[in-house]
Amino acid sequence: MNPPNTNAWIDNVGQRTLGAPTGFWNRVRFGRAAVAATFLVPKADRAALRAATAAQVWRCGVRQLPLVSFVGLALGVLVIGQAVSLLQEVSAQRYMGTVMVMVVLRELGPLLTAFLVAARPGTAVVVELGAMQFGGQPVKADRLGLRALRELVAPRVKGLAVAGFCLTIYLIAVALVCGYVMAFVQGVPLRLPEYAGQLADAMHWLDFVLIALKAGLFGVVIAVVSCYHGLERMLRIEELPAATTRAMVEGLGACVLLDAVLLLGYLIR
Amino acid sequence: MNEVQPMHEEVKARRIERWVGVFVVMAVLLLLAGFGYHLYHTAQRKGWLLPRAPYFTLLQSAEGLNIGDPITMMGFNIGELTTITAEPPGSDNKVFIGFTIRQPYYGYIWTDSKVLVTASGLLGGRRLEVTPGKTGGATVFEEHNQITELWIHDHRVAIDKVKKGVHLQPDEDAALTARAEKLLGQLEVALPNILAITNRLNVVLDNTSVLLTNSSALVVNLHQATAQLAPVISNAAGITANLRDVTGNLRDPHGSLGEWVLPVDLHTNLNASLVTLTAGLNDTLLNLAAITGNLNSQVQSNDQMLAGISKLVVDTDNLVQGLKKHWLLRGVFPAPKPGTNAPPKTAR
Repeated sequence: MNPPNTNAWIDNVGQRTLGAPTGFWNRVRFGRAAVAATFLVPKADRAALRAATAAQVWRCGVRQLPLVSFVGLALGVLVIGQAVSLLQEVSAQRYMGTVMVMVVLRELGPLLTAFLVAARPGTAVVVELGAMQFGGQPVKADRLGLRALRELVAPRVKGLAVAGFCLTIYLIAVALVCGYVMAFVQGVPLRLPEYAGQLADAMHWLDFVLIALKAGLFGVVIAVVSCYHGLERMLRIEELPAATTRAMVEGLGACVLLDAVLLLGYLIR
Repeated sequence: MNEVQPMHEEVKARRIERWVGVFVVMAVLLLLAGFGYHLYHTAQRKGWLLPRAPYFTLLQSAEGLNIGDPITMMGFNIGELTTITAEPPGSDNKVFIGFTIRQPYYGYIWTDSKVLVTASGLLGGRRLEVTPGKTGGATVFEEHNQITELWIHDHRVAIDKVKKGVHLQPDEDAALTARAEKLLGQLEVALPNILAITNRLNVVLDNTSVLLTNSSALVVNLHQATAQLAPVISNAAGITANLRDVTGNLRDPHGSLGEWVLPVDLHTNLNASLVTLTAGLNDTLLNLAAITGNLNSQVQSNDQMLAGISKLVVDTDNLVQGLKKHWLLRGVFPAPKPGTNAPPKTAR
């Protein structure tokens, strides 16, 4: 049995540390190229891109709707269930709408949707793009041409952005509706118009802008990160799980970071 | 078969596109519906679609007030604060506060309405509350559900010529924090006196306790004394009766004790005795004067005798001194020895 090679581990840390800026700038360059290829499409390619995007939205959005609805239901029930027991102790049921807006609409809704999108369609994108190299010409993310970007990356970026946006809206809507149903079941004396009024009072116009922005950007970030890791280098089949995990962790980390940046929007209102 | 396959793919793609379209449109509609309801509710709550009348008041401080704060009346949210600006230096009231009141609440605001500035929350916030008018006149005049004129400086002024709005008198309380600070300051000043009073009260209470204990003992003693006084008083009644009898007897000398103690010729005897005593005293005094004179002459003769004796002593001393110097008697009076502390003479 060989003793653990401490020097090799330290070498690995040093190598990763020195390589981190390079990796970061590679991702930024790839992301910039992917976004450009997504939104600057010649007329001739638009029909094909639209069809490919629709397929991605179908796969990453519509087919994820049952799971997202279930998570929204659980979220509404859990938040309201916990909040009701707490708020009833201090006779503050009128803050139920505020709690829902603060917890579900502003933070948990977009983040949970991003988690689901990264966990299911995001990982699928990594595997799909990584597997494409097994049978054909190997491609590298930093060597991709514009046409390859439009065919492989652009539909996924667009599809995940649209799917992320729509799924976030559905998750929030389901959570708010199920929250009211849960409150009704628990016997909270709150009529539906009052609940809707509480929600409307607790909201701000900036909430709608930030939710749309967050949901779309989370989808774009997850798509770019997933595509990058799928095309980063020629993957062997045993490297796919590690690449998938990296993509998911990096995608979620980027989403949380973006969420923190967008939080500044609430501070300047 | 080759023609059927693309058709099938095309139908499938169209179906997917339709479902995707529904998926996206529904999401967008949900978002827009939520935003629309939010706008509608906010418009209802803030009365965006209702006519509003401008009012203002002048305060000493803008502390705890913010633009957008609600204005309340009778528990309703009736408008919002729109302007907070400082007045020019030297003004009596330093801060201009402008606010708008929406329909129909400005109908309650008359010329005698006031703006109460009250504390709000625990963090030093304040809020404006307008009191409904009681005896004044209306401040807003409408035609066809639109504000046409306002009551400014005892005149009706067209709404488009109004610059600031209708002035309402303020009723401003200090901010909660200021009041709390003032109260604390007064408490700090009064605290030593309160402590002194407390100490004095402690002492007074201690003394009162002792006093009560003593009073209790005194009451017990008084009770005993009262019990003992009862037989004394009953005995005193008998003594008083006896004294009254004695006094009656003394007033009448012909009876018992009076006649025995005081004889009838007492005054005559006393006068005779006093005359005899006075004559004896006179003779005694004359004899005493004679004795004094004899004593005086005796003392003077004694003085002459003493002078003779003194002369005799002096003469005797002169005689003895003369005898000392005589050759016959010089040996009888040896010369005085020198000091006794001289060393003894040694044998040669």
